[in-house]
Amino acid sequence: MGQDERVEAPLIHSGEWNIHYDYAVGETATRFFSRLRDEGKIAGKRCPECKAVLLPPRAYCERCFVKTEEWVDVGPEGTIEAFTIVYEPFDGLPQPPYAVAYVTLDGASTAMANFVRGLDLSVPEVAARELAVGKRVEAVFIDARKGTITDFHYRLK
Amino acid sequence: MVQRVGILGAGHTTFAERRDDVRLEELVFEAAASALADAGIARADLGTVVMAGADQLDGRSISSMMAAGPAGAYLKDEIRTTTEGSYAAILAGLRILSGEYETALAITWSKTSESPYDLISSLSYDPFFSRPVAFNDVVESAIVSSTYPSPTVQLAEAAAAIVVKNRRNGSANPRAFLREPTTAEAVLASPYVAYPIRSAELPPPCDGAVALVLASEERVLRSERPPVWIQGFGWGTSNYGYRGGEAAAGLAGLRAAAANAYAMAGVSRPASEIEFAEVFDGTPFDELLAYEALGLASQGKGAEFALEGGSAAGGSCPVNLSGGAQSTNLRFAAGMMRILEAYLQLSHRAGPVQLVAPRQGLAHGATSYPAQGHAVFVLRNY
Amino acid sequence: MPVKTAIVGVGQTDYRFKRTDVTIQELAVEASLKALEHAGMTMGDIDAIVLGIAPDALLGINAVDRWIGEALGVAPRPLLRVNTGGTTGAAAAQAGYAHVASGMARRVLVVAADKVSESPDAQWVLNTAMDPIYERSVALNAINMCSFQAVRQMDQYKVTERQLASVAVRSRKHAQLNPHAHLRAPITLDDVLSSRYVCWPLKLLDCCPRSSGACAVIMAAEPVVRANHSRAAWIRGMGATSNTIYMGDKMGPGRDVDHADWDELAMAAARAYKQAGITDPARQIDVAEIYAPFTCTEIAAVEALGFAKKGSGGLMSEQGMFDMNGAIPVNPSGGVLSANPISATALARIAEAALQVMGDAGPRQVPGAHQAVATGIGGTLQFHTCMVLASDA
Repeated sequence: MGQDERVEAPLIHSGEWNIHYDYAVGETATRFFSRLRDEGKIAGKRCPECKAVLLPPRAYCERCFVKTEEWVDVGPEGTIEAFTIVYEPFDGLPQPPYAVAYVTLDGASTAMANFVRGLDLSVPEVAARELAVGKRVEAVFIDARKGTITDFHYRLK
Repeated sequence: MVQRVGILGAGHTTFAERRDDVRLEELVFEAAASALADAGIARADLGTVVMAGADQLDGRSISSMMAAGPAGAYLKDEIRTTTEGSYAAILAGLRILSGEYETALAITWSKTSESPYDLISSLSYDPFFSRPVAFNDVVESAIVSSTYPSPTVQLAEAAAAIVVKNRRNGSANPRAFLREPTTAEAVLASPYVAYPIRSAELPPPCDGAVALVLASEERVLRSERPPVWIQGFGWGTSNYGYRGGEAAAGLAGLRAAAANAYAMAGVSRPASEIEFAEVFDGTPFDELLAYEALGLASQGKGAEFALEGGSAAGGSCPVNLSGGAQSTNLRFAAGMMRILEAYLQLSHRAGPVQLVAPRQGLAHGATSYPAQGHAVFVLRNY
Repeated sequence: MPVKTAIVGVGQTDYRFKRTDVTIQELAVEASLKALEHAGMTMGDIDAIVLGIAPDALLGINAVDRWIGEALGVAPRPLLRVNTGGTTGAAAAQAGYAHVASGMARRVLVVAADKVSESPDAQWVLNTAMDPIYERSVALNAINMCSFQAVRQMDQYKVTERQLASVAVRSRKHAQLNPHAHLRAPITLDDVLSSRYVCWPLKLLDCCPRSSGACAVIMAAEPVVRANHSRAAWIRGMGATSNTIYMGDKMGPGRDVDHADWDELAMAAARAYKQAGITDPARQIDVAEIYAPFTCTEIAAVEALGFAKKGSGGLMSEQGMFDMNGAIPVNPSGGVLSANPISATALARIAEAALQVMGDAGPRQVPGAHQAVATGIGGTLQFHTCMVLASDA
């Protein structure tokens, strides 16, 4: 075999993954999303043992390892627990800037994430002061609800 | 001195073509809660959780993130393998034998009603040499099956006989998903999917989750239930695709796995010492090749073994009395289901498919192609 | 009784953004051969392989462990793949330990590799790790989940952006000592503070890069070590703790632990320390390799590991306690802020800790290091691992 001394630029082969999934949301989330879509209400599930009101609602409590049964309406107002404002574009994610916050809705034991809308995000320091931990927000329900988590978002009170 | 691992209890979900009533995480919870209840152990007392799950099949990158909580791992030690369902039992066994934990929940699941299985299977092939020439696990399984050194007619009849046997067994098993027997004529009349594999030899998949509670020898002896032991286990890996060059690729990994499991369990003559086996049967050819690799039939005699009823109920070594994956095709979780069924046999809880007083059996899990990984477990109740 | 187990060989590729000269197979082989050479072994000596590969989607090959296994010549030997997200490399090491400590294998190769540059933006892939039903569509990813932590640290402990920046500056300073590191250019506090916001309050230089590279370690059982190896990093203790994926559970009034803190790491460390006989970590640990992909996470980690009181980690970082000549040098390698080959990152922490106690860390050697700790983090800051390595058994 002859010695091949050519130096080749490494080849790149392109490929695509486009995997379609049909996620079954299950009976618990079906009830949550149906109520959100049809009535504009947010409900969590209470653990029969530790009594925590879990939001997003789960069919079981991870801590006590029992099934949850009881539904509890929460909100629509709540308190910011943590937030960020995204300024960098990421493939497959929304165009920045956008704000996302974890909010404990009144009556819930846990915080739930969603977008915070209706706020000028152009100056990071200014927007961040508006969105401080402990600030009060309310859930705002859009008109064209489809039974998904973005049927509502948060807005500063 | 290596001790042995025992099984404290087991649990599984109901199986269905689609479990749209639950999201994946709720399916995981169903199996975990059922296994813990069967073992009589509270989540709080559990040592570690060992999961097996496959991201693309689950539609969640790092699917253990979502599954950790419902699998019982909240603020506990937890780890996940993605090799194949039964590898959760391997890793759990290693962790117990290493003295790290006294008890482990080994859990796996498969909910492929939500995902395009064939596409994901093809994405398992390297993008340079194999994927462009249209491989997926069925195609490769067909290529491997074509290398089996046996007359074509006999091979086709043996494959059909295995499907008929497993479907007949499954029709008596209340845990099985498919409970309808079939006939050799129906199998042999079904069209080829990829020669020599026919459509009736590829079982329809179902959704479900399976869990075992494993424990140290000491802990098992403290349990009130008569013990069932994983007396030996081994795992091995075959060459990547058929380019490994061995006839009937897949055997090298299984032979290595079996050799290690038998050595650990002190089994020297498997054909007479293994009383029953639950074997990976994603296609009947997989089961047929396994007879020889596991030493249940002699070399080159797998097809005869099937045709003469050696693996049937009442044969010298009944294989897949549960109906196997041919009746309950849990895909990624199929191997763990084999362990569960073998465990139920040895704890005399197998119901209508129960053998009379079995003492030692075998369970086998395998990944799909390419590069099949094989896990072998020797279980006994003394 | 578990078989005492030690790391006797370490191999790392250089960590770079791209490695178009090799496939993922070849990258894993590159690190494995280095580790085998360091241990004075060949692949024929290896009983079993544990592969740590995080999401396949970053590589574009489903079940990619099988293809990598081929290149390593694994057949017909045992191969087991671990994927726990960010902790993958550390979880693979814990699985490797279980192989040896159980008596089931005498020599095990643990290898992890990644080529993150071949996938689209990693944050897209990491978004698909989030709950597809409740949380994916609100654009969560691995950066903003850490922003939530930083915001809570700033609220509860008055952590400042300058304190966060001190972590980045130190990491780069250390990275200059490590030829494997991806980012080695020195940076100043002002550089960090004036870099653009990515996800408030984290700025570009608070964040790790995404890297390609591989890391491998060889583990061996005590009889093998005693017969063949003059230097070894003995695995003295380890722990792991998992939590829920739901970050909001760590924020509301019902929380057991707070998203600001890494109490889960403290739990894992408590177990590892107990096994290792460590009662006063700040005094007994000579060097730490912490998986901190963002500046705020290192502050949570030094507190969880017992190097600083809760709420004081930021201040102590700013005061230089974790510099090479500080009380407890943290990340002499430059850490994750200087290189993040995702699958291999947590294993690289263990590899670096092993090199330190073996005395083989070269320019980044902490003089006289006898006992080291390495950590891993994964998921929504929900998976934590901790391993203690020491120069004696």
